[in-house]
Amino acid sequence: MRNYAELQVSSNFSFLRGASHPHELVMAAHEYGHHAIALTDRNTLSGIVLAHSTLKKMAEHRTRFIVGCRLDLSNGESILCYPTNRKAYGKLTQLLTLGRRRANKGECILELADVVDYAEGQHFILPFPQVLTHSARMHIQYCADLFRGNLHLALTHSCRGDDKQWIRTIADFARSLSLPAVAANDVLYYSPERKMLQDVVTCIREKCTLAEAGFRLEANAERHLKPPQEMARIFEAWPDALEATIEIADRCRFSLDELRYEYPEEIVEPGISAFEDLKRRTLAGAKVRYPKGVPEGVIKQIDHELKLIAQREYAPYFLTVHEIVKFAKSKKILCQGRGSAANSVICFCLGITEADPVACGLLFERFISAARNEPPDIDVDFEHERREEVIQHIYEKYGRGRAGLTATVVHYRKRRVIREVGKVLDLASNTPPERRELAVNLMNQLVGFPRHLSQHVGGFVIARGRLDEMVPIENARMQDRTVIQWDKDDIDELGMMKVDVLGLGMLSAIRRAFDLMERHHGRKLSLAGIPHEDSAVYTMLQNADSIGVFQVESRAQQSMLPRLKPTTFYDLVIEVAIVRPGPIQGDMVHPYLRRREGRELVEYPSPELEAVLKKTLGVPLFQEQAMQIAIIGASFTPDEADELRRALATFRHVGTISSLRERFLEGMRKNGYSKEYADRCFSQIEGFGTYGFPEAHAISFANLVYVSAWIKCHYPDVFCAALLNSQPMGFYAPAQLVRDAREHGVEVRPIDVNHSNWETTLEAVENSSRYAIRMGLQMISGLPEKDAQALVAARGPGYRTPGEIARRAGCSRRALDRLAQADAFASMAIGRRQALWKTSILDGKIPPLFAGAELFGDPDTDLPPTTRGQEVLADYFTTGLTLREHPLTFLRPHLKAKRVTTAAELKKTPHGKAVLVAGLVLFRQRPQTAKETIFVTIEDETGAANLIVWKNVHEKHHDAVYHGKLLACQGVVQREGQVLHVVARHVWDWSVQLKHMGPRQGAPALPVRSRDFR
Amino acid sequence: MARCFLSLFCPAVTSEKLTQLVEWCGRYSPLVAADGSDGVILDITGGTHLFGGEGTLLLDLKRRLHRMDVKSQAAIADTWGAAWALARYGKRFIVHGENAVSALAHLPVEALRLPNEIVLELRRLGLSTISAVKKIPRGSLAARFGATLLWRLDQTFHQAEEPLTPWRPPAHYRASRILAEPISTVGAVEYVLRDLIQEICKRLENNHLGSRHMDLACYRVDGTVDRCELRTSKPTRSVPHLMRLFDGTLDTLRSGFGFETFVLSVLDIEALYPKQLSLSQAEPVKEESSFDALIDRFSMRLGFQEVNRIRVRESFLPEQAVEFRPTTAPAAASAEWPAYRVRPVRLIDPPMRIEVSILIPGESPVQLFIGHRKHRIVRSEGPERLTAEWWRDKPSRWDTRDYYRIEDDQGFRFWIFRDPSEHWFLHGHLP
Repeated sequence: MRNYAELQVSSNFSFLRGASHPHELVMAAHEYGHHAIALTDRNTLSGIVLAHSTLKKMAEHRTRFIVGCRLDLSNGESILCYPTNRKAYGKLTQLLTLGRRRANKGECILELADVVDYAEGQHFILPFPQVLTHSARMHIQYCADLFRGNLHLALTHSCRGDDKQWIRTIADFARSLSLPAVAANDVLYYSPERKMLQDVVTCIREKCTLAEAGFRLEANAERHLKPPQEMARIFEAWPDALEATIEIADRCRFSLDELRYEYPEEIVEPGISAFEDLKRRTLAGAKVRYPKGVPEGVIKQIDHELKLIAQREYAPYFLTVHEIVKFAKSKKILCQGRGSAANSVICFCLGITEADPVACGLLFERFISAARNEPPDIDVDFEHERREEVIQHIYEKYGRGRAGLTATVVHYRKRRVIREVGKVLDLASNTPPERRELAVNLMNQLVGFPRHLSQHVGGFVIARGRLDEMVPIENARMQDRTVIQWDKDDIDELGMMKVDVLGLGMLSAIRRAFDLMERHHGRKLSLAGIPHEDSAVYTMLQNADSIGVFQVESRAQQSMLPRLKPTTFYDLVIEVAIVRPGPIQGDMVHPYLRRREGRELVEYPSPELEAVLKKTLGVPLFQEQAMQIAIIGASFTPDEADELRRALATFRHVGTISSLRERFLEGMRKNGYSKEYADRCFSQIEGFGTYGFPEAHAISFANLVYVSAWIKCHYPDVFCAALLNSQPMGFYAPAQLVRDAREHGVEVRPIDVNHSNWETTLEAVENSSRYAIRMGLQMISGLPEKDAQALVAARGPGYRTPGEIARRAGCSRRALDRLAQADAFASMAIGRRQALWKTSILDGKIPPLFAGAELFGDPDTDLPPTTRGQEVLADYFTTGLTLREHPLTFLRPHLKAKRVTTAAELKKTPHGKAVLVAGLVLFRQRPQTAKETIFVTIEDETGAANLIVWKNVHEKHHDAVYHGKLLACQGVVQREGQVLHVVARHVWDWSVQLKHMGPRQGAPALPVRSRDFR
Repeated sequence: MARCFLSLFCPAVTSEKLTQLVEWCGRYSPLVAADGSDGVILDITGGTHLFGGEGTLLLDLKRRLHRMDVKSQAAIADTWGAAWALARYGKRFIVHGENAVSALAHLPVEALRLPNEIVLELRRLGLSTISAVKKIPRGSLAARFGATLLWRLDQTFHQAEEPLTPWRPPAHYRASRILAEPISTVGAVEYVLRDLIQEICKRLENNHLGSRHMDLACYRVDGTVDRCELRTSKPTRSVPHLMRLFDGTLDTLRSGFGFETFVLSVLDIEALYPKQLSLSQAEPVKEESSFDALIDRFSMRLGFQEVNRIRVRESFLPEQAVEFRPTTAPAAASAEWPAYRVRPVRLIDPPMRIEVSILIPGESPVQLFIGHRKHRIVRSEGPERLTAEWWRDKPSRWDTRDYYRIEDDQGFRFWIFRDPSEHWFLHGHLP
């Protein structure tokens, strides 16, 4: 029997054309015993790594994978391209880069002439024409001339009725051009059952329903991968065409295994090796880190790490990251490494990370292991507002041909699938149940299909040679960003280096705080320079006074702080790690707290595990502890443990999880652990896989927790101003940050045209070392920055009338209107309404001659007086917060009559008592660990209260719980230590009440912006 | 003379319903128009006595609307603006003269029919009632809000005219003739009609358009209307053709006391480019093909839905592949049928079960039996494999069908198929 290689295959990376994943296709080919299978997605190589690695992992290597690509040309014709060797592969990736880079995101513009330019070493196949139009005929003739000797014409049997005759016509035509023919099935799915899904994706692509799709759908389900025997039967009359598949497959010897990734080299100082350079820089850095002399342990550790790095030749990688960090520091951009890099003392010495791993007892092997042959992964956080500078620096330094962002494959998610498939199938409420079932089945198949490529948040790939000879590079949606066609997993699979350049809002805030402290308090600080282990900071955190502090400001963290009572830095590390879905899902929080409070005996299942779990009182809290349990407890190899973590983290290899689970339980049993303990461990590991923090990462984050808490504790004025200027970031809206600052005795002054700058500033207060916060003009919603900056620049000694601002600063009417609306003319003794009245005829854009009214005198007009309530309402409209009374003050008499408990009174209410509370909604949250429950935080003039709304309640009061701005809640007080909740029984939306504050009729509702479900 | 307006406010009516209401309100006054998307405005000046006075009219209107299950409010005032304001925001519903000032004073500024931005702006300044706005000097208002605010104020308080444009059906082209003397003979109507058609066709020609749908409204002396309409399968602006089509229907008009006004409207148009004269001028340009004209005349006689064209429908399944559409329906390009998919002219419905004998499984048969007659197959081609259109409510009896074109030794050609359970069917004869 003749064998067969399928050379024309589209996977679902030909978006909305193919109806199977690459791994499904190659596994099917392997199953059928194909000689080889190619992947020819349209203008992309995104699926090839997955296909390649899937086949590589097969126990038997009977089917070879061939890299290919279908080039859709701008004249409407197509040609399939297969690189025969490494060099040709580089040409193909360059060709695709060329086409992608000159088109918009997701598109590719290629001409036949471009293909000719990059044709060296490629083999081509022309797809089988279904009709032989003049242009198709010309295209074939043209290609036959251009690529003679390296071109075949495909013959495809699609059961269209006249196949024998039509194939003969085309084959004769090919022969007339002395073009050899090759059999191909133009595969779209691995099995005929996927035809329905293929119809569905076709309709999604064409934006039509199935009923409207007509001839855009295929007439039959023949475009599936067919076993070699069947292909042999179909092409019995054309044995040469069958033979040609093998010939071509054998000619295309290129394999992705040949890709040799090399680290960039120009970062190294000339004349010395990368390793020598790294060693030199590390030792220099160590002297800075340990000014009192480098400790013995650190020197030993550095030697140890260097040895491993030398062995693996990772030195250029460390240098690359160091260069990026050095650049950031030279531009005064704060940065800090996160993730497992904090395990490395070299990273600490180079200034990439900020926590001393030796002092924290971290192991380098968690970062780079001798056993695991995979490249290290350093993630660095930069100030979120200045990250773009770092990114553009990398592009500039290495060029777009050598550096690119990793792609993220955006998959179809359930919600979108339901919408799209529903539209395509024209589902309605009266759709019969069988059709519904079919629809659900199709939806499940579509979930997880790639939808488009997006850019990874910051994963950079940098190569020594040309990156575009390894992988095609394309444009991202954002300007000046370029993305490679492979995602993180593909990169890992091929052992390529990646640096994550991430953005972190808190770093921007901390840098601003440092600047303000230096300017006003005369204190120069850096991340490393903050005094350590300050007890005042811990006292503050123990009282859950953490609004604005990095990571521990969330509601869950706030309720954990008084229970955990942190007193040392390591407690903060635990605090950061423990309030995570991983530990919560694995039910590790309560045992840890009980043990910490001494209410439960600290015990270890075995002495081996004691070493692993001692730090955390026998309860695994960090990701690597969970991995260690697998290694020590269940006798996994480190590789297997890592495989387990990956399997849990991505749903790419769903099938492997259950087999790993059995292996794990079996291993634990053999090592003498109880079944119950083993089960619990596995569920813990499951939680960690997706959501756990590695210890090193928790340490890096805890460092920022400590720094931000220290600033808050000692300089609440600076802290609040820095946070306000770094918005949007963090958990709380400016209203809560300002409220918190005022509660800490910081004076907050309103926005004023004669005092405010664009950013929030600090102003001296008489007889006080503390400064007052002057809110910045940027807090006024809708005020153009250009106008505000002009206003500040032209202010001089100050403005006396709104008219002066218009004339001197040239502010637009719109800007003046926003200023008036924000009540920013108080220093001129002009109230909001009068200001609006005065500014409504001014416009700096119009020459004064025409702005007649002011010149000729606009009669002063008595406008109706405003109420306090209206002022508050207007404050909320313009800045989202008020320095006057809380809106609920105005409703209080009304609320009192309804016997509503205030937040302050609630704090004194005993457990179990029924209460009625009301307040503005600050947050709604639906934690991943408790999906059925919604947590709502409400606020009145006396403070905040936390509501727990169980599923049965929020289903009943859906609109109120999800959309209400002012909620009233009847429920029962639940106390746990210092933590207090109201468990809701009934929830009502009282938002209408807010309208009574403003004018009687038709007033818009209060624009309270809650931060929901983040 | 003081004018008198009635404003009707019907929140939550659909636009269709509103159109109906406008037409229906014609019973109270000929000067009626839709007012925004939720109201009707009537000029009832000098006509209220016919209904027993303003109060009675208002009651009658409300009672009837109530019976029609339309939620509504209505008010009568001297100006459109005042009536509008009272119908929507007022407490009193019949207000005249000086009373208007006090009746409107406490209404919100929205009652002035202002653009949203101006309302918001006024509210921000605390000017939330009409009286508050009226207190501000006009110059200051004009400087801030432009002419619109003053204009609306003046319209409401009878200081500016606000003409009402009566309602008419939307039409692309319209021509009308008002006659000095009513006419009632077919000949006279034909004369007027030709005049109207000529005018309209001239205008259509200037714009390279043709009519697909025309409507002739003939207003009788007593105010009632008789209509006849006309649809064509192709756009046209040929006067003789249109006259011929109207010819049959003019007899059906009942003139009563005679027609005094004629309005010809074009309700649907399509592009129709002028034809080039041939250079030699030997062949005169034929405006309409006689076949199209014939179809139009059939349609006029038999009804527009009765004359159909066969169109290709985009489906590979033979029984789904054609559809019938009225010739007068909007033109839509018929899909192009892929030539290689051969279909018989007529299908056997349902397909006829046949017995066959086969040599190789999966291949086409060598003999088939239709009834008792045996056919020896000499040629065959196929299969053309078609899968069911699974998304339809009744997809098909068969999941897949393999069609073969076959020819017997007599030269007869058949279109047969095999279903998944290896049963064979005859679905048609091929030429």
